[in-house]
Amino acid sequence: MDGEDTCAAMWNPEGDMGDVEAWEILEPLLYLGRRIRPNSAGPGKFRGGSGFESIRMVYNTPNQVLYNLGEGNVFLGTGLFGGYPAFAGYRQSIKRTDMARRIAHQLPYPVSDEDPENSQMVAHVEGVLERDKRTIHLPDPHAEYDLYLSVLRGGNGLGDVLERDPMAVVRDLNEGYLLPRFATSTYGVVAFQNAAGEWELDAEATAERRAAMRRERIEQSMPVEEWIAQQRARVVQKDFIEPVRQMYQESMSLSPTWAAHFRSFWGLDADWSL
Amino acid sequence: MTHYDKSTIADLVDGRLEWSQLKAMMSNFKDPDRFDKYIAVLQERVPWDDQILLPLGPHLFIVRKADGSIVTKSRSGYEFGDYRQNWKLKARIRVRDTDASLQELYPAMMHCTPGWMELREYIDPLDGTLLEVEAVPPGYPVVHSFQPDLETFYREWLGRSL
Repeated sequence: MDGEDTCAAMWNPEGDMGDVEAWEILEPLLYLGRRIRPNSAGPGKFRGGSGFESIRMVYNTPNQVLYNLGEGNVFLGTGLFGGYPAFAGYRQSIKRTDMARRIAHQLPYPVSDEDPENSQMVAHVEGVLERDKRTIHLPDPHAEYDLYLSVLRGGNGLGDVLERDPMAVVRDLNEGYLLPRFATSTYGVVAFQNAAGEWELDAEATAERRAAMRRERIEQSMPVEEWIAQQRARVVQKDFIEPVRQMYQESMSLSPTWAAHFRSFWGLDADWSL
Repeated sequence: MTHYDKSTIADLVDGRLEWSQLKAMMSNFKDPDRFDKYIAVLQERVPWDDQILLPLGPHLFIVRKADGSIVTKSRSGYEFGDYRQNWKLKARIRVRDTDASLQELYPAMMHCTPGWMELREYIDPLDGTLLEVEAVPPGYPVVHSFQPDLETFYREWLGRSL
């Protein structure tokens, strides 16, 4: 079965965050919207649980310091048995907004974000967008009417995506768990919208697409032993970005056992180092 | 003593049990013949006759061949060599380390940054099944996820020799 949505460790029940109103009493941050975040689950035969997104507005205070904590440049974990990891995060705030005017004139305002490539948050407010992968940073000052996007992570996937029940993919489309363009590119599921706007399965096209994706996997891949021989050149040249190079350097100095494993895997001399 | 029939174990393997049934199974004492029923269900579903000794995943098994050797073998019939070796070394691999390849799976901004991390897909050479995905920094040695101590497992957990 799929992972549990909006789930959290039992010692920290913020996975479902309880009632919006209770949090609004506690802190000067109004919820403009809160919903399941599409594509927050790791893809797989059984997808991970989905996280949720909240759009918070600084309100009734001249200044609020916010910080963000979570992985951004890397995935937090990995999938199981061919499943993929859940998404890697980013941070997004919109500052110096026109929210005061929108509220005064009862104009539309953002209640969701959904997709960084078609952000509903950006589309429904004027302001200065700050969006990057710096997901761990020092406290960041926000002023009244600034917006902050909070996206809680999802769980990792389990099993091969091409074995996912196509109707489960269609259900995810209809319930907002999956952005439509990923039904085919990730799961090989071909779906179409009926007159009522609901997604329906094209079973025949799906079977064809999935068979083609299996063939593509073989065509686009190579034997691991060949790949290792190619990658070795990169390792020998120390062709890594600085944080990765530093990570290897520190790991090797902290653990002689791991350093020996690294050198032996890549066939490097005993005194090789970064 | 807890007891389940083989069809319940088959439903467990297929992920067809309701959560309430699963939860009850998880909270109960383990049925002593579960492993044998589980293996029997798996054995019926593979297209070859080698004896399954231990499953490593939905498509990967440690099996004993007719000549007595113990190897890792996939459902498709592909053999990855001695079970103590990392099976991934005999698989095929496709790496997602560009924005374009990662964005088949994740929206922009919602995937790892190439250079920091890559997704390595380990693929069955015969039928193209995706067997495992690694999310690791470039240059990370291929991860050997699991090497069971088969003899001890059979002797001390199942009470019989391998």
